[in-house]
Amino acid sequence: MRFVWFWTFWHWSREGFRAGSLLRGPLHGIAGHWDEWYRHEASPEDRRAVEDAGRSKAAQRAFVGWLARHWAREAEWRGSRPPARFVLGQLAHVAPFDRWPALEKYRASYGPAGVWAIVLAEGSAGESADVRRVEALVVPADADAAAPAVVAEGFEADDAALDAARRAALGMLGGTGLLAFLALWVAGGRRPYPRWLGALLALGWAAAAALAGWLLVGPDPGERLLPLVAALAALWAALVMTATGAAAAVVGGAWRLGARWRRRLEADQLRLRMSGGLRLIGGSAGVPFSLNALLAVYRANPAAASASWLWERFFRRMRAGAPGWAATGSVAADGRISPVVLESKLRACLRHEDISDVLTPWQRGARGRVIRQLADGLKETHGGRTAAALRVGGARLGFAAELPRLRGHRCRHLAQAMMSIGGLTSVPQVAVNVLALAVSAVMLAALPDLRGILRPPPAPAAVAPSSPSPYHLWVSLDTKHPEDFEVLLESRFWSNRRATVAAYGGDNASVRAELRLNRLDFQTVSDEEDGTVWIERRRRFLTRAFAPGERVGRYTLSYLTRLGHD
Amino acid sequence: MTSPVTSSSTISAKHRTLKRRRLAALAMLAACAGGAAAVAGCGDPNAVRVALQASPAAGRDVRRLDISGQIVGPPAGLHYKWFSVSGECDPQESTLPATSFRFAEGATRDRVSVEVWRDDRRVAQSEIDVRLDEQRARMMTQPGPDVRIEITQIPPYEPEGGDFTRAEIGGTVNGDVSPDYQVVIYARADAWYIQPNSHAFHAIRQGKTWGSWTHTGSSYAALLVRPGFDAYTRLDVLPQVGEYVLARSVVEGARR
Repeated sequence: MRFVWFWTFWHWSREGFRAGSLLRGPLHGIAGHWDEWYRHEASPEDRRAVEDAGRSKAAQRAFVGWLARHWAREAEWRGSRPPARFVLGQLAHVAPFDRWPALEKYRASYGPAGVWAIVLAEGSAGESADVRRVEALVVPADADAAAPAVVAEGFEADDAALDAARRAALGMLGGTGLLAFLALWVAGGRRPYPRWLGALLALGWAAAAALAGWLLVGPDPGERLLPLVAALAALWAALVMTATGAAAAVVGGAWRLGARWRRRLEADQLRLRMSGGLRLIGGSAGVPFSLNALLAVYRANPAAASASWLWERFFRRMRAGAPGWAATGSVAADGRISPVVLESKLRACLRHEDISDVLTPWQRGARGRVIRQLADGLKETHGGRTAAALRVGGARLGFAAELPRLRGHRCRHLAQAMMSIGGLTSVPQVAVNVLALAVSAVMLAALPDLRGILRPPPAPAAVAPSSPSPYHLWVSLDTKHPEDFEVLLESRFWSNRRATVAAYGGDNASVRAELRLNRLDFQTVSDEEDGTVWIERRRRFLTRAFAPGERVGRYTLSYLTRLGHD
Repeated sequence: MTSPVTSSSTISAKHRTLKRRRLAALAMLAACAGGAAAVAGCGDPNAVRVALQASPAAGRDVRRLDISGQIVGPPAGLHYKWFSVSGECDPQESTLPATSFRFAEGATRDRVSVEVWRDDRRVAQSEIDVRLDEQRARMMTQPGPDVRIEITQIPPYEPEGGDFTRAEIGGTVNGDVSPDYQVVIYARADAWYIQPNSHAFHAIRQGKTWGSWTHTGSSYAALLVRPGFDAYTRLDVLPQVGEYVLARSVVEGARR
């Protein structure tokens, strides 16, 4: 076994803490414990082994690699793996590690930075140095109940501001913030489909819209109505099931993993590091702090993200893109982002060569036009100075170099910031969703009509009451679907009539058609009982009535006149 | 070795998991069944039913009845086969749901049935019991009582008439009047319409008077009828005196 001495130290530290001889936990107090062990407890063999491990830079790297790959995976403290970067960062300050060149990078950094914070130095009008690197790390909390949930390293800040950022991050992992994030994703977020399937679904919605449009305003489909409507209903049902099924799976996965991460962040200590020794006034770094807290939770166990497509994509994009993103804005515990002073901060971002995107609160000063104007102003200053400096012997030198283009992302809520930084917003998906909503609204409104075509209601029988007025013929029907039927009177004595069926209330409540009788001027028979009443099924699609209706009942006029009186 | 406690808790956890899975499967089945039921609706939308109606045939042959079928369901492609116990149907097979039935000699009752066929499949059937109207047959051979009816309160002359008009009508009856006799009133617009409502009969009051409100028309008619009279709601031509009709009075509306 390699580096047995480190295991020896670790067990000594754990057991010492358990026995009460060490006050701090083995993780948070690792630097002090090591110093104690190395100076007073380590055996000569252990010391020799430590010296051997630090003899060359290669040997030091081997120890660092072993600690990160093996020890951190096997060691366990309070149910979690100790974060290797934190351990290395703590050890790098104590002997003999403080002399190891291989640990140089761990002395001032926990590793890759997250989203940059824009914190203006006093009196600064916006310099690139005001865009500051922020590192975040979650560490299993110490047993000490008074231990802070958020620890600021390298800067000072109000506890309330740090707590708001942490609570906002908690909300984004499992709470109203996550609900907002999921709602935004459902409304217009990129879907987990492969490109071909996304295109196919978009085509499907377009086809459903075209079919519905044809049924509404196109030529009468005649005999093709049934297959057309069946195809439309099947297509719509398949599209809805696919869309809702995929969305539900993604939302469910994100919710479950978010809840697990939330519990982890609640239990752990969040450490935020920002160099410069600043004293932060106001909470304008709340947004980057919250986003970096999320990233820290992910970095603590990146493999867990594979359980959720949404979180996996968000963090993958954030981890890759974070070095180019800066953020400013005061964040409330519920995730809402409040306006801050912006102009100098945008100028600082424009002057910083690594920043390509900036997350800002939703305020006028963050519009693209404002950013362009600021960029133009800086370009003129930059260009003027250059031109003046490089006018040599009457000859002017030209430069093609430009200030980097900065994209602004205005956000009202941390969820919007997450959508932006995760590259989740998809304009084509928004368009597809709008189309899908419109088609679904039409289909839902037309559901009774579709059912009437696909599965028509049974033919109704004529029932009492008949009309109390001799001038009218009532055709009362025993149906619950009056809108699906029409009544026709064909007669050689009376005027032919076509009437809709409706539900009537009052003393003679019934579902019926009321026909006003009118004798023909030139009737061909003298039989006032001459007449056939047909019941027709209506086939409709919203405002459109298709022809011809299927006849599903035949009655004589004399039968209907006497109905209920014989 | 696993302790009994661990073992039983593992088993109960497995049971819970199985139960949850079964519940989920049941919920899915129920959802599928519900969806299928919703799609299937309730009943065959193309089922055919038939109801028969018998009415006296035109003319003076009391042994003949018109039988008509009232069809529920798509009538296209249907044909009808007619049957009776002792009488005769003409036609016995038809494409329209109507036939003419004649009682057998000496028979006063019969049963007419119909089978409804679509192609080579019987899709519905129905039957109706019919009785010879013996009273009508007697009335045809016997002279009626000596009675008269008169309209004394004549409504106005309004040729259009119709639903939204109203006036009073009344009159007297004279002669050998039975208390069972009733009065049927008609007003003429484009045809004769029974008044004031469909199937309205008016009793004869003490003093042999009668009266009612009526919609208006160009002419008015009052019929004194026996019980059992089948009062048509609308008429092209008023019935003559004879059989059920004992007396008739027709007047033109009062012109102002």
